[in-house]
Amino acid sequence: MVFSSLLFMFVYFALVLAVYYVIPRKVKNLWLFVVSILFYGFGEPVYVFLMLFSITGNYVAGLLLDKWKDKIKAKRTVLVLDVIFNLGMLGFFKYTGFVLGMFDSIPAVAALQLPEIALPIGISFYTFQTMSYIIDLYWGNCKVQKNYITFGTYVVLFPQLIAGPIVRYVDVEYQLQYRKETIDLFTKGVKLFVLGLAKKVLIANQMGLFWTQIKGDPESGVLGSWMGIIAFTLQIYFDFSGYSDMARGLGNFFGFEFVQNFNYPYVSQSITDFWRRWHISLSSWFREYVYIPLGGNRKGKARQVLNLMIVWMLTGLWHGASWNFVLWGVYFGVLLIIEKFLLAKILKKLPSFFRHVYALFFIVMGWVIFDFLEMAEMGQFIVRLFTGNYGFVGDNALYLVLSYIPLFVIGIGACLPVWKKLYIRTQEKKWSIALQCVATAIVLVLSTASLVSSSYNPFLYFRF
Amino acid sequence: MKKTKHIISGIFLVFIFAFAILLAVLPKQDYSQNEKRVLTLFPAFSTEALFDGSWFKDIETFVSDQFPFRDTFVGINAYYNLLTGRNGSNGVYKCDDGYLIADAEKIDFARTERNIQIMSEFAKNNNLPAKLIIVPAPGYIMDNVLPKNHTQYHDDEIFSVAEEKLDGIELIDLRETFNQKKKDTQLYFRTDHHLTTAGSYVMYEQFCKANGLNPVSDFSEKETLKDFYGTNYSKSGLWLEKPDNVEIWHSSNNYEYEVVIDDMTEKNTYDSLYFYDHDKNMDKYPVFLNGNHALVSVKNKSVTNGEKLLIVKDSYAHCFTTFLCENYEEIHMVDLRYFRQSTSELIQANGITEILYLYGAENFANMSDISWLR
Repeated sequence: MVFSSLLFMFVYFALVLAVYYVIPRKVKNLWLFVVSILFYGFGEPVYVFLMLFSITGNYVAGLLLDKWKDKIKAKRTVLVLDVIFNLGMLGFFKYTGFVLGMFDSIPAVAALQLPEIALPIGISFYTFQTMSYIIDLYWGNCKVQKNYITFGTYVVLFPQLIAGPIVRYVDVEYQLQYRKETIDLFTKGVKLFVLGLAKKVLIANQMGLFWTQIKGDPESGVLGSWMGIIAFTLQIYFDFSGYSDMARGLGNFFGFEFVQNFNYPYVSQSITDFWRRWHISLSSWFREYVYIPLGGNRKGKARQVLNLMIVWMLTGLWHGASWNFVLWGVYFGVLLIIEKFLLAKILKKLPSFFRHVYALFFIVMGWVIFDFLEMAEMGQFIVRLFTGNYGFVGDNALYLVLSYIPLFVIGIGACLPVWKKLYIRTQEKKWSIALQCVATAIVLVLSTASLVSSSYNPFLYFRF
Repeated sequence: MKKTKHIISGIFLVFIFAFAILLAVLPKQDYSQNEKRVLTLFPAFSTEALFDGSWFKDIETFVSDQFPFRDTFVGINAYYNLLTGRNGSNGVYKCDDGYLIADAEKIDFARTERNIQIMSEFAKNNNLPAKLIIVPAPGYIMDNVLPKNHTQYHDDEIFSVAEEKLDGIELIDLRETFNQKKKDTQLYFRTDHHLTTAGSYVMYEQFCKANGLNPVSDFSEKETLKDFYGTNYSKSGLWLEKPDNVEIWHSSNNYEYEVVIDDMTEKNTYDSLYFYDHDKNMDKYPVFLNGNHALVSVKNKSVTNGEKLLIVKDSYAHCFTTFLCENYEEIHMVDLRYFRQSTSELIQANGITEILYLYGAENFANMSDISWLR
């Protein structure tokens, strides 16, 4: 179940919210825990057991760490075992097929014929969350959570369960027990949720439609292909950040405040800048729990380069079990290293226009690597972008490009921070509030209309 | 001032809970006329369905199928898409003069050639004279009303492939006549892809001309069925567009007919070419010969000229055939989407004297069902 669905908004969420506000404080976490488990079960019911297994394993590890807090060796053993436990689960469910695929030239491996393992939804997110708890507990950054339900609620809490943000336990430790739902927070949540809904349904989904029609059609030519990859650039940002906004909004409804996950990534002036603005909760997770523990930049330049490459390969692999994601990670690792040691000084001297163009170009090329699982198709697409081998623009692509101009204008405009600045300056003014109300109503109606329409499938056998 | 900013939360809650409650209490629909399909009702629970996830999936479909004011929302979305530049995003263009026209299909010309070959060989094997009518796509003929930004129709290429590859079959090319007639005759419905009665009559005249027949031209009555909302209307979601009229031209010959409709599982006999039951539906085109069936045989009881025609066709033939019945003793219409028996045997059994293939251009070019012609 995704947030941007009729079932979520008008059945699940309505019910969860209504009950949440009438039940006593004592059982609010229990309610969230139960309904989040239900939410999780919606995609793949049997994986509920996996979820409970993961919660229990980490819960027990937490108790052990606390029990042996003065025994360094025992503590370390628990930590190592717990990390193996989490990464083992992630590895088994996410990477088995990928790893075996690497060795399928060996007859014995090819003969194994393991059944396809369906990827448990959100596993990459919640294993990172549970690890943040155990590692921070090991470091003494947080206290042990002895209440199973409270801990379980942290892990499985539906707003951030399936697409982040990756909430560190230390950030919500206090909120889990002592949060307070207020009307101010609720209204903030409404705004975030509606904003996210608009991003996801009204921009990302539409850009997705555009991109899928262009992607596999070589006839789309140079212009069509560029517009296509720009559409994907907009799609992935509005999809992901829209989803994060909805997650944060939902958190607010229940008294939680989650970290911001995106900060206008497409106005970046360098790749380093981009990664401070894109999927912030993931990059800070890798910084806190991998890069810095590896020594970061404190052990000399060679070690720093190595650390960066390790972090970025892992970042790539985290996004998916496929070579193109590894390549994508390495691509950014290399760019960041070049920037750090060579380009930074040159970039500083260039006018900001060139810095934007430079950053955007490499970001967009990154999305090419990101979205083509097959290297051959990726290569062909790059040829389409940079040579005239497939013509300038095909008939269907031209029609699509002209049709989508208004949406491209809206989408590109929405990548700029000016609207937020305007909003912050004027938000308390009467006309601004009126405008916000009207916009909210319009977004709700249009998004619902769009979601309803996607189920509208005329079965018209007329043509034939 | 402090409180007014929370109005936004009020709007949100009212919207969510109003539709949540409506969804729960409103009576459920089991059929959608616009979509011509059965809507999903609340799924029955079973442990098995729970664990394989299908129960949840069915609930999801149930919610979207039964959403309150579903058609209204579909309409809002359609007009929103139109206003934001995406005319044709549902596969239908909103055109001038109230026309709703389907966008152009991609053509698989390899398939086109194969289809032509099958048709040619079949006529040759049965040793019968054969003709082919390709009905041009509405968007091809009505290009004067199309929006500026649209995809290209491939009718000209389809016709040249047909001209080049047809072997022993005479092609009746309607393009020129249609382009002339469209100025003063409404050839296609505005909300549907089919030819109007007037359009079908033009096609009928052309066929008669090619075949040396005398077209009926004396009509005692022209009946009008109002409020016909065609398939392009349903597909578009543009609910504010105007409906069409369906005309029924009654010839003054007043011939008597026996119409046998054979669905392979069930066979029924009627005495009229028109099926007024469909007048109560949005889609009234099936008023002509009751829409799509595997085999429809029309016997003209008043004519005994020994002329027996086989029409291998799609639905473009239906209105047209109501005219052609005047000229033939028997007409057998075969629809290869449903007809799975041997057409050659049908020819033998009924003493067919001539074959007509009749298809809409894009369907002619892309269909795969013709391989059932044997």
